[in-house]
Amino acid sequence: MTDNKQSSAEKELAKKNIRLAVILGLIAVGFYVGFVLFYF
Amino acid sequence: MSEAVLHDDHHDHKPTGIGRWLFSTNHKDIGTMYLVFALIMFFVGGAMSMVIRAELFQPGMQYVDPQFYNSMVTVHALVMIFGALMPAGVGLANWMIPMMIGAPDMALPRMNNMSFWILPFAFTLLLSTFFMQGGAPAGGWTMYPPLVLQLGDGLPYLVFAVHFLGVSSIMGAINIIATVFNMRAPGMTFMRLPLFVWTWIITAFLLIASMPVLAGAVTMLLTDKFFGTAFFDAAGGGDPVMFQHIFWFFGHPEVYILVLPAFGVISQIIPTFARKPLFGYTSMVYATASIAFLSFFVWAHHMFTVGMPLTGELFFMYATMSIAVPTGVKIFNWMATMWKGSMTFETPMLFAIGVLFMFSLGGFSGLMMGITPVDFQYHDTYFIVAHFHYVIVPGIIFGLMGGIYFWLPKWTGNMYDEKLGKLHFWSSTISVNILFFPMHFIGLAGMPRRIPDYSVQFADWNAIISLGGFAFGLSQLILVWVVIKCVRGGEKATDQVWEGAHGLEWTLPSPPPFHTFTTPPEVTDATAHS
Repeated sequence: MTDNKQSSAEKELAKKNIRLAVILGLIAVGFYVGFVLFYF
Repeated sequence: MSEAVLHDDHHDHKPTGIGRWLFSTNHKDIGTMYLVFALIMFFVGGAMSMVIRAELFQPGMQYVDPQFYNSMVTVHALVMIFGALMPAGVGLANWMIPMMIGAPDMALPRMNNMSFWILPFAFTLLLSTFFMQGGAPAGGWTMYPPLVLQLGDGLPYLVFAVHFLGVSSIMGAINIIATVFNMRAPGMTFMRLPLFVWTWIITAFLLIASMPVLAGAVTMLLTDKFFGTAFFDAAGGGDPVMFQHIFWFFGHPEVYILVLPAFGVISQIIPTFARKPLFGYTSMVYATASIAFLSFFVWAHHMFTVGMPLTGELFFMYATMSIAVPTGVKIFNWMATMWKGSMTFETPMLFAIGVLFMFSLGGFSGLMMGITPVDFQYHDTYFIVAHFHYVIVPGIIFGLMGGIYFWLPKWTGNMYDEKLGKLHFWSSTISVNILFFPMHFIGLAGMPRRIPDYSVQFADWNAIISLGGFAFGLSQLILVWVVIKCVRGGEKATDQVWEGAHGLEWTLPSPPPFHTFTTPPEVTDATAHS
C-alpha cells in the first residue's frame, strides 16, 4: 500500500508502532551503554 | 469463512522471484525464511555434534585434533542456540502471532526483514573463523576469559557475530511487542490471547533485558584484547570471575528465551488434542511471567564452584529451587488439561507429551544441580551435559517440532504423512534417550565434559551414546522428508485442520492467503482460545 493511500487510522497506527519501537530500542541501547559505562 | 477473509482473497497477489524473499515484508514469508534457516543451521550444528560423537566413540584420539574438537564443541553450541533454536521460535512467532491476534502483519515489516537478513550475515562471520589463523572459537560457548582471549584472528569476528545476533533478536523482540500491543483485533483482550502469544511477549521482554548484557560483556572482551582495558584481566586489576557473573546474568534468562516459546507451542497443542480448553489459563500466564522474572535471580547456580560466599550460594540455591514452583504449575496444568479429555495421539500431541516427560526429567536433574553441595560433584561433568541436553532436545526442540507438525497443514494446505510423522517421533524419542540418558551415569562416575579423550572405564557407555547420536541425527532426515512431501502435495487440509482446534488462525483457509485480516475480525469469547 502506498503512503498516499494510507488512511489516517493506518498512519496513526504506524506512528504508534514506531514510537513503541523507539522506546523499546532506547531501553535496549540504554542497558548496553549503561552497563559498559558502569564497569568503566 | 468470515467476510474479512473472503475480502482478503482479492488481494492475494504476491511478488515473484528472488525479490519476494530478499525484500519480503510479509510475515508468512519471513516466518518461512526463519524456519528454513533454522533447519539448515540445525543440520550444520548437528553435523558438528556427529564429529564430537565420532571422536568419542572410543577412547584415544581418532579423527580430529583437540583444538578442532574444542572448536566443534564451542561452535555446535553457538550454532544450535543462536542459529537453530532462537530463529525457529521467531519463525513460528512470525507465522502465527499475526494470524492468532487478527493482525494483517507484524507491526514493523521492514524491520522484520532486516532482523532476518542479519542472521545469515552473522553466521557467515562466525563460521568464517574456521578458515582463519588460530581457528574457530574453542573456549566454550560461554566465552570465558582469559581462555577466549587466546583465540587468534577469529575473536573480533566472534564478538561482532554475537553483536549482530543480539541486534537481530532485539529487533525481532521489539516487533513482537509492538505487534501484540498495538495490532490486536477488536475484542482480543490480553486475557484472551492464545498462550503461545503470551509466552512470546514475555520472551520478547526477556530478550530486551538480557541481550544487551551479553553484548556489553563481549564488548568488554574486545576492549580487553585490543584496547588495553583490563575488565577481566587479574594482572591489570580486573576480575575474570566477573565475566562469568555477567555472562550468566544473560545466560540463564537465555534458557527461558529458548524454552518459553516451546511451552507456548505445547499449550496450543495439548488442548487441541485433548479437546478441552487449557486448564488454568490465568495461572499459566502468571506462571510464565514468574519463571521469566525469577530467571534473573539464579544466574550464579552455573558457577557455584568459583568460590562465592556461603550466603550467596544459599541465595542462589533457594532462588533456583523456587523456579520449580511456577514450572510445576505449568506441568500440572497441562496434565489437568489432558485429564478426562477425548485424547487422540497425532504426531503433534506425541511430541507435546514427549516434552512433558522428558523436559521434566531435565528439570529434575537441574534441581539436583541447584543443590549447592552436590553441584560440586556434578560440575563440569557429563551429568551437566545430560541435564541441559534433556532440557534443550526433547524439551525445546521436541516442542518446536510439535509446532511444525501442528501448523504445517495450515501453512501448506496439505496434511503431512502421519505414519512418517509418528516414525519420526518414535525414532527420535528412542534415540534421544540412548544418546543422553547414559550421560548421567558417566557424569556421576566422573567423566569430564569438553575433553576429546577419556578413561577406558567410560568406553562402553560412550560407544552406546554415539550410536544413539548417529540414530538421532538420521531420524531428523525423516522430518525433512515429511516437510518436503507435505509442501509438494497430499490430502487437502480443512480450514480448521484439527477437530479440537480453536482460535482465529483456524478460521483462515489452509493455506492462508498472502494477506490476511486486512479487515480486523471481531473477537468474542467463542472465537478466542481461552
